[in-house]
Amino acid sequence: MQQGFSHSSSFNQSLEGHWQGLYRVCFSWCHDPQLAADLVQETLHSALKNKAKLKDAEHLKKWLYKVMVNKWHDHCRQYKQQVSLDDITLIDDGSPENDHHYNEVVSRMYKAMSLLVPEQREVLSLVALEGFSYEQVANILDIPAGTVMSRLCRSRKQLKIHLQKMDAHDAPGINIRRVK
Amino acid sequence: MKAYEHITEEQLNALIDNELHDHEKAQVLDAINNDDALAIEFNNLRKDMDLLALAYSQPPKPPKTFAFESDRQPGKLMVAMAASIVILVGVLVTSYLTFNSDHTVSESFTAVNQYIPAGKDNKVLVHVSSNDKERIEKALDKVDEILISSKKNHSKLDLIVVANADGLNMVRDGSPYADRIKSLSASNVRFVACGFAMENARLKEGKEVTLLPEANKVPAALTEILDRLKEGWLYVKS
Repeated sequence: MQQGFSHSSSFNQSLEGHWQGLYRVCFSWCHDPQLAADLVQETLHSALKNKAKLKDAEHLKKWLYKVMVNKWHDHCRQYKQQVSLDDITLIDDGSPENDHHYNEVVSRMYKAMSLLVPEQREVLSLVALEGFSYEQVANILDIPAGTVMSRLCRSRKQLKIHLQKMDAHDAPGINIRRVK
Repeated sequence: MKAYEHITEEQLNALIDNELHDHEKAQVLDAINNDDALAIEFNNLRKDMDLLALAYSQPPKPPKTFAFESDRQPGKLMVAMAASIVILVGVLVTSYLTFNSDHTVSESFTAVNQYIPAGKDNKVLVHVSSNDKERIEKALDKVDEILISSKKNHSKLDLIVVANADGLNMVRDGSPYADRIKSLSASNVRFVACGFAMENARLKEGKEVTLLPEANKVPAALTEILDRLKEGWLYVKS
């Protein structure tokens, strides 16, 4: 029990420390830097507003991702995020920030990830990028641990298929998805 | 091998994610050690996950500056501006050096040569992932051109050729390009082969892969490439 944590300045510092991880995962879900930043910002503001609810500092990370998942789902519901593959717009926005990603290897992975259904991307990012355990992911997404396991398995299988298809077609160029 | 058909995809995933108990872990590892097909599947899965982690290690920054509770710090703007300038220079370089497959070789070389400034240290990585004769020859031609350009400009050059996937054949013992590689190696061009590709070839062929004496093994080509891109190396894909 760390009652003082949520009231201390270390709480704000802890939030700052999670920005990069939250942004990375959120970007892997939406592939839109602006939207990812907005959702992370909303998550952190929401965390600040509700910090009294957090009783244990050890649960902060999991709690933040749970809040972000809700923000992301709200966004998907509001903007009908379920875009069919045919609707995906591939762009090269030429922004300097994408410098290191203008290489074939990275852009192919972005493309392959963007082709997964959102539920698969969510599970895969939380496990593979942030290192959450299956049990933690189950808690964050509010689904059974068995579902995490099977969804994760399907995600990886599907990701591999997309990567292989791209290798087969040797698709050139930058393929970053703009979320509509 | 039929004996290990009981190992499920979920178990392979759980092994990668360190979610198995010791007993089950030992069982799956034993199966991997005794079933080549399973080992290939596991290696590929692990490789994809390594790539995923690397691909998202530095996601593109948002268009607006977002600094949670910290955007009032005066130093941050200057740092951001300086970073933007560095990145902008990087983009200009990348735009010269990221070649689409339909570019002609001479156009590519013109672009490369434009970025071998005189008297500067230049670091260039050439990536070969295909066993196609024309592509490999183009890659080696590029290396030749870069060397010539560098010598002409009296600039220092660090040049590495990374071979992975089917491109591994270029640096394997018995490669038809052995003489060229030997000659380029004498000009301080380094050749490296992807450890994952070598492992997969070993499992597929049932024997160890031997490399040309000039080539060295690295754990993973993709890691090699992305690490160098982060360090500002020029990337040339054949």
